[in-house]
Amino acid sequence: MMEDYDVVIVGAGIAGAILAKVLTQGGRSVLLLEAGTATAMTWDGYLSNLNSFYTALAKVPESPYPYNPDAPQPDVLAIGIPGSGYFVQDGPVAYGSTYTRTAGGTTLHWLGTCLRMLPEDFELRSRFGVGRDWPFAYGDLRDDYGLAEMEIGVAAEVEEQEYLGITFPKGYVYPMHKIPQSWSDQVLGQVIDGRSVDLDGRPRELKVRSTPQGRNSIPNANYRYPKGREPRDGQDRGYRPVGAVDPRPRGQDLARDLGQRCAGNSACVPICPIQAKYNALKTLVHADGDRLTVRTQAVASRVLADPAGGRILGIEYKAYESPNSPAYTTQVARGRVYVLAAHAVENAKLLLASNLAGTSGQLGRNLMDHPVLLRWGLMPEPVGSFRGPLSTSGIEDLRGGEFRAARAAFRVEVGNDGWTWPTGSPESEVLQAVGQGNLFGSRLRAQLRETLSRQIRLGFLVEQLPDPANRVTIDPQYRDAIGNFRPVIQYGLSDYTLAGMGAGTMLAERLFQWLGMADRTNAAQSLLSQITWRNQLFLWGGAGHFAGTHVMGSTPASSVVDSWQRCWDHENLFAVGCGSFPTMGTSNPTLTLAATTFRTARAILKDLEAYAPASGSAPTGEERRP
Amino acid sequence: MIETLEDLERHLEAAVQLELSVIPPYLCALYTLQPGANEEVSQIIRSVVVEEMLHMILAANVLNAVDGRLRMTDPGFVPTYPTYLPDGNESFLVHLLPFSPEAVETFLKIEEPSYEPPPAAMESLAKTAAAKPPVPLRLAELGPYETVGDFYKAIIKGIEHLVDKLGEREVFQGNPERQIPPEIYYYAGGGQPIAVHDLRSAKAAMEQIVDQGEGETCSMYDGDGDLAHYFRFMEIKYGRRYEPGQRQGLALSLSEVPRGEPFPVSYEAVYPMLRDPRTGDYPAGELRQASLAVDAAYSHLIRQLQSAFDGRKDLLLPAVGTMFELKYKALELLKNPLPGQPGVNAGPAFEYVP
Repeated sequence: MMEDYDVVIVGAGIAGAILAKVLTQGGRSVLLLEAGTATAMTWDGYLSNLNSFYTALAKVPESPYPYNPDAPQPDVLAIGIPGSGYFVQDGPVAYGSTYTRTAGGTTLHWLGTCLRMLPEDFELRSRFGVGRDWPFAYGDLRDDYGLAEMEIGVAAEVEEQEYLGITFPKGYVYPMHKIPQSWSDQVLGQVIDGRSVDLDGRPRELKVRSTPQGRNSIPNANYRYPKGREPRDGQDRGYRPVGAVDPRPRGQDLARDLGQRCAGNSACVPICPIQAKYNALKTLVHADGDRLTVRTQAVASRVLADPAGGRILGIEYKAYESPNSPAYTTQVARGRVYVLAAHAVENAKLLLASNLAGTSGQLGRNLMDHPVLLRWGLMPEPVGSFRGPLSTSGIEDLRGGEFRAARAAFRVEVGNDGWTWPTGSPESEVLQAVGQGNLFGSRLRAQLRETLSRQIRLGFLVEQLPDPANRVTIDPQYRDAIGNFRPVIQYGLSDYTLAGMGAGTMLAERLFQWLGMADRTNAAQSLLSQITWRNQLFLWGGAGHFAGTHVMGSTPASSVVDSWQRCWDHENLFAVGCGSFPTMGTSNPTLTLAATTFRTARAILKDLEAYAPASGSAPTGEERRP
Repeated sequence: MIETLEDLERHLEAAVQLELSVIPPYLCALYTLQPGANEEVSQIIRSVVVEEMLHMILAANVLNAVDGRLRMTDPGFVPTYPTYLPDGNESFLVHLLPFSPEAVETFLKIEEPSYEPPPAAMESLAKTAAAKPPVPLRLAELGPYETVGDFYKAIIKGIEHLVDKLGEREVFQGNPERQIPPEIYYYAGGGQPIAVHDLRSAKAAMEQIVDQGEGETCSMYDGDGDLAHYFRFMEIKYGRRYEPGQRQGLALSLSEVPRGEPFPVSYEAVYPMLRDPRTGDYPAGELRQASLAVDAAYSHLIRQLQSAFDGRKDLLLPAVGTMFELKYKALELLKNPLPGQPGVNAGPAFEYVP
């Protein structure tokens, strides 16, 4: 099959969706290949995902999105069980995170946290002598952060987000006002705000700060859309939230009326029941449908290159009829520019399988995550746990500082979800109260009310530096149902990161003391991973923040992609997403991923000018300026 | 006719009362939908309820802008069901009903646009109205108005008339602090609160209510392209969406039947709620207690709204939390069969308890 598109994109997650939207609106034809199904794209499909979640026994991030052997995905329940799951875990510790392979990608089950990286996060090597530098600075990405916040629809107040060097353009406001902080956030804030800790010779004042989030809130009337990005009505003032998606005519009314406002359903991960939380399909349905072809159940298996010049000639993919059958046909998609937006692990896997982009020797290496140290306890009084979005606040004051020369920084995520993550509460509490406590009826209810509403969980998201030994590889003996490689993962936590967990532990103990919170952190009651450092036991899990597998840099010798996420070895091939991150700092990476994608979209539009001019409507000024 | 500021205030207070009166019947239809069916019906009814809440805020803003006072906690303000609507239209009664063809017909009646006489089929409903129930607060002195739209249009005319007669300043003397601005409340794409301080903003607020209920003048759609409430209920009645082509038309007939994609409507997957439940009718014990709990949540909601419209706008968002509580408590009742009445479940009475 010979088809010609301006751009072929692999992966319908957030990066693929942003590219599809910007490039088609810029007059370019796009073929989007998605390995999984597009179930969540229609309202009934989304409801079927919701029902899978309701009926699942374990409400893990994957539970709404059925396992598809033709495009398998990692599963939380398989971590740490040798020989189980999609990942081949090669140690020394199990990589603790997962992602989703279906249209919409992992934004379907993400939490929605939209922190910007700190300016110093971009300059770790030059400022602290560790990690790598990004090939550009915070200031170069600042406007793209604005575009990302527009696209995702971030709710926050600028005055609360200017810290540790983060700056905003004069007069900037977030698209929506902040999501109200939960009652437990407020109780914690009353005790913690204004107090200082000294973990490394310098006291730092703490604050329980509202978290910028990609979920619909009250639109800010003073928001101004960037030039050329106004909604269809042409009004640039006042943000217009995007509700549920359904591209069909009959879905349009639903889409307008549903998901316009977060209602605190407390199921953000794994699925927002009303789509008030951003997911990438909200972006994808706003692409120019006349110029976009979406092909689902099409797993890219090989990138085809011209052996002489390195130019990419096509993407070979396996089109399968049904997730229940291993039958497939092999086809080739052709375009002028190719973009891998399939996820950090999948991008690396695909390039390794194609034997491309190998000059630097860095492909597949530098795999990172935010190992999350978990601590949990019981507050002296009820604080309304299990209400609101799963997290609405964090402590961000320890994300930056000179200490980063010696140990990892971290942020503290304050959970609203009780001990769900570490212990499987509230179900586990009910089982225990009934099974061991022999409680029923009003006594059972009283007991649950008494304990559940006092549960607090703190997550310390610890920075991990790029380490070439942490890597994704492929091995011919490990393949999936249709013969594609399964990722083999080698992964460990360095002393730098473990020292960060040590500092997090010190802070946790201080916080527990201030709050009068009884420490209930307990390895026996938890399925979390365990690691020991200097006689301290840390209980931890993955954050889902895969990064670093096709690192971005300023020279072909040391990096896989350049500052536009273009492969050094292949001028018409881009590898986008968190895989390009040289370092990840301590911010949840999706916002930065989205910002870098807007940057790349400009580069692609510029490249395409060498070919025929864009068809149809003129692209906006913003998009034409790379 | 609205001749004095007092007339205007009475009308506006009745407008808030009107918007409040239609919410419990809509909620009964919504909450009686059993999980796993009627997904689109649920979304349509919900979208209407959310806009009725917005309308209540808009009406309260206009009332506060003309320096009127709302008295939601006064006896008689919160209606008991069945009730006539407080716009003075006594041609049909509004009952608390489970989701049913009868409920849908009533909703069509409530949202009926004023630009065409109603189809004969709907008239019959009015004829079946039972013995006259007690008349809610103040409504007897108003109107009567044929439709809700007529009622609001009379208010708009009245405001214009008073501005002509007394001057804009004299009419809009309310304290701006008592307005609910869009920064305080946002729940749907259908519209936003408008802070009212002059003729222009007052008209905009009133027109938004009329447009969302019955469409822009001679159109099925409001200014944002949202289908008007009447036509959303027509979609439920016929189990079909309007076709995109049908959407363009002006001056469509009220009997215009949707011809677009069908969607499932089930009157069986519904909790068989008792008609017009009253807390006092439940036998003493668990059911009575559960009904009292619904009334308590509803009454708390009313008091929060009253305070929010009285200058405590910070209480409006917490009132949303109270609505969740109301829903869960109502669902507890709806899942309970009534002793001695096979096939009938209990339901919420929405009674105000001071």
